[in-house]
Amino acid sequence: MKVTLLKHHKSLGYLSTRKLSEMPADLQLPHECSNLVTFRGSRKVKPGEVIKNLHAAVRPISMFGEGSYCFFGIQSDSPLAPLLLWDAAHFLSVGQKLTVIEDAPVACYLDREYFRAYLTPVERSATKVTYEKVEKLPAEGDDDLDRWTFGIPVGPEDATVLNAVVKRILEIDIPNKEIILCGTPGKNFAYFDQVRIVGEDITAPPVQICKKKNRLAQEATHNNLVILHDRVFLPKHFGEMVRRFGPRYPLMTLQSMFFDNRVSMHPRRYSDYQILKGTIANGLQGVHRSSGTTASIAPSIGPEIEKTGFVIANPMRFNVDTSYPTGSLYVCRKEVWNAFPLDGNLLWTEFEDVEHGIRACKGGVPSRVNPFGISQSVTSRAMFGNRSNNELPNGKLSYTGPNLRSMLNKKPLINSSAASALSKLRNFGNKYIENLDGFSIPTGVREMSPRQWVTLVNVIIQQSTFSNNIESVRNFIADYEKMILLEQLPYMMKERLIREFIIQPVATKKELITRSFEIRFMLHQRPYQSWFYQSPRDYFHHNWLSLPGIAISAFNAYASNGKHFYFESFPQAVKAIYNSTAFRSYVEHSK
Amino acid sequence: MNIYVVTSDAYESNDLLIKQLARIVVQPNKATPVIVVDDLFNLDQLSRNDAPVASEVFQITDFKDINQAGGGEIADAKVGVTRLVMLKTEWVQFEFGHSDPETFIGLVRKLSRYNYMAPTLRKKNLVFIVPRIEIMHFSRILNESFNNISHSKYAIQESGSVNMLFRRATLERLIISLPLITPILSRLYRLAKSSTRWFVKST
Repeated sequence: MKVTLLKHHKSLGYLSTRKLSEMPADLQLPHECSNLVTFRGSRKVKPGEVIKNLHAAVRPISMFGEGSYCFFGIQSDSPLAPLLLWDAAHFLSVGQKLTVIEDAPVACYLDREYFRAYLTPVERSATKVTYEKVEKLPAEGDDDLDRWTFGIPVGPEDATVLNAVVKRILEIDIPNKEIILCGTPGKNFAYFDQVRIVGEDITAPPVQICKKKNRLAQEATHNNLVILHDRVFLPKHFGEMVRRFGPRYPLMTLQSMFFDNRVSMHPRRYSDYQILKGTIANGLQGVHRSSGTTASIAPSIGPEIEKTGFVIANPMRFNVDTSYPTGSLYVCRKEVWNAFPLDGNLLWTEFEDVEHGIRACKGGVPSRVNPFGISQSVTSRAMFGNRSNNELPNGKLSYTGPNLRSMLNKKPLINSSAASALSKLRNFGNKYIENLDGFSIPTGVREMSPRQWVTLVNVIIQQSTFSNNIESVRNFIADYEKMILLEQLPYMMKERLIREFIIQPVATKKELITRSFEIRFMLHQRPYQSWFYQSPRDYFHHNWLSLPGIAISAFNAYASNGKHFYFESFPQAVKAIYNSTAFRSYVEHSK
Repeated sequence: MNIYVVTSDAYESNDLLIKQLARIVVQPNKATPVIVVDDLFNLDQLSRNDAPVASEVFQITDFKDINQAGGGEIADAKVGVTRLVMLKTEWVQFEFGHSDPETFIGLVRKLSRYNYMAPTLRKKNLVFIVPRIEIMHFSRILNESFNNISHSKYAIQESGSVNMLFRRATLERLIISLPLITPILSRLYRLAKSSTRWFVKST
């Protein structure tokens, strides 16, 4: 019997072998065990293999050989246990046994729904359970990492960024790939001959993002599946990354980087892997749209779910039943996705990604980060540009956000041209202003400074007229989001505004812009530079000027490795950033 | 006990509402489930032919003594409490109407106090019918009044309360172990306390 001793990475603050009691000398194993895995030392048994510096972004699959496995104290000693047990269950051969032994009764992760039909408990006591693998698990249908389907939900907007995203996918080092779009892309989409389009019957608005992503999974030809948003720029070496990480992976994502400038300076984490800060909605429940059951994520409790708080998760740590990949990028086996699809009854921004990740983990599919590369977000939402909580390797919280002192020329803040924004503003004016002829909305200007824009929208809001009842106020707030802010208001803010309009309607409308948190966030990020783009090409990085920025950003990220981003080494950090940068060449030479 | 918080514009009639709510399958929860209902979705159609479900309706005026007393005991709400004690139906509706939020908060506090002491409500389904605008606010209050809700591990970390506990225990140990200083310190403490009270009163 080979004994594998695992040791946590010191920076995590998880239990070290020294702090744990020894493995009992008279440990009775229920069956012939070819590999005993534990975090506990023993004076009598010398470990055959010691795996040091274990954390959630590494995958010690080398320890799983032929035969049966035993785990001692793994669940009580390590938060990484679900990841280790997932891998063990998937690398165990059919017909072999797996035993989990604990000191005290602990519910075993392998009892969860995903494993139920494939691992049969053959012996169970309060602290020990032995499973026999009766069939291959869904994620081990095949180990072919050379066949991938990339699915992108799309809308009819300008396809400049989508073209670059698709062009990058076509370059990826994978021999057999398929690209599926769900929905109708913008008219300037350039790769109709390289993609398959599905789901044109799925209506919008409201954006039924879950139905679209589930359709992509159903339509995928290959079992390895990537579902990504049309702003996510994948790394060129994606194939190498997934081959290094290995097959039979659970729900996976990549760290996502966003630069608010085009010279690759001041990177920040952007919508990739998160954890819940507390109990969802403090335990309040809503009603599911179709099943008639209660649900902890439901439209009726949106403000309370938002109040739970979300933290950017550290890729080196694992938090069972609270961590989830945000909807931007999923890497998943098709069979696993179809066993735990998104809830098709939830709409975009109804915390559908939270519901999915938590439900999958509770069902036995944990989520984790592939650390061998990153993706980059080409665009960003202005509301995500404020300071947010970031989990450190030791589990404490820090803050991350844009560099507000940077004097660099920035990317556009809002994904719209000034002309389009002004045209929406005119529509708003037509709807809410009695005499719009009284002042002009300069719909023809090419560029507007933040001051000009804020002054103009303030006048429009102040001059708007509508009845003060809940329906009118709701409609007004919805139009304010769509036509003026060009961003989604947080649920809590909407709730607050609706309550304020009943108490002091005059003051609320008067101060809607001047006391708006959202406008202030935008001004923090772009105090002088126009918020709108001249062309969607403004989002793409300079071909040569970005190179020093990439090196500096990689150096800074690796100097505090694990704090915001985790990289294996400095050269890997440079490679990861360079390979995922959306250079201007992707729009200059696009088809 | 299940608590339903329903917006007053989400249903047609009280009888139909109870049939619809009775159709909801409540997921097991360690605390008293508080279910927020602002839309009945397809329950409206599904429950139309269901058998009627008996329920008792309370108006806010049934508790007027409590609210007028503004902090009085539950026994003051003669009408309401008498009816609560006599409850025979599994479903109880509290129609909040358009009273001000303070009245609702007062009523919920009294009900939760009554529920803390008497078992009458614990096997019932309580339905609070509230204006749409207040549904989240009132749901939070109900959740906090009928449950002991969990605190996030990050909030506990940030509060530093355990460090404070250890510092306090160390200080107390020091004071106790120095008997000569203890009377002086306790007098100083009493003096500080009385002067603070005097200062608060005089301002």
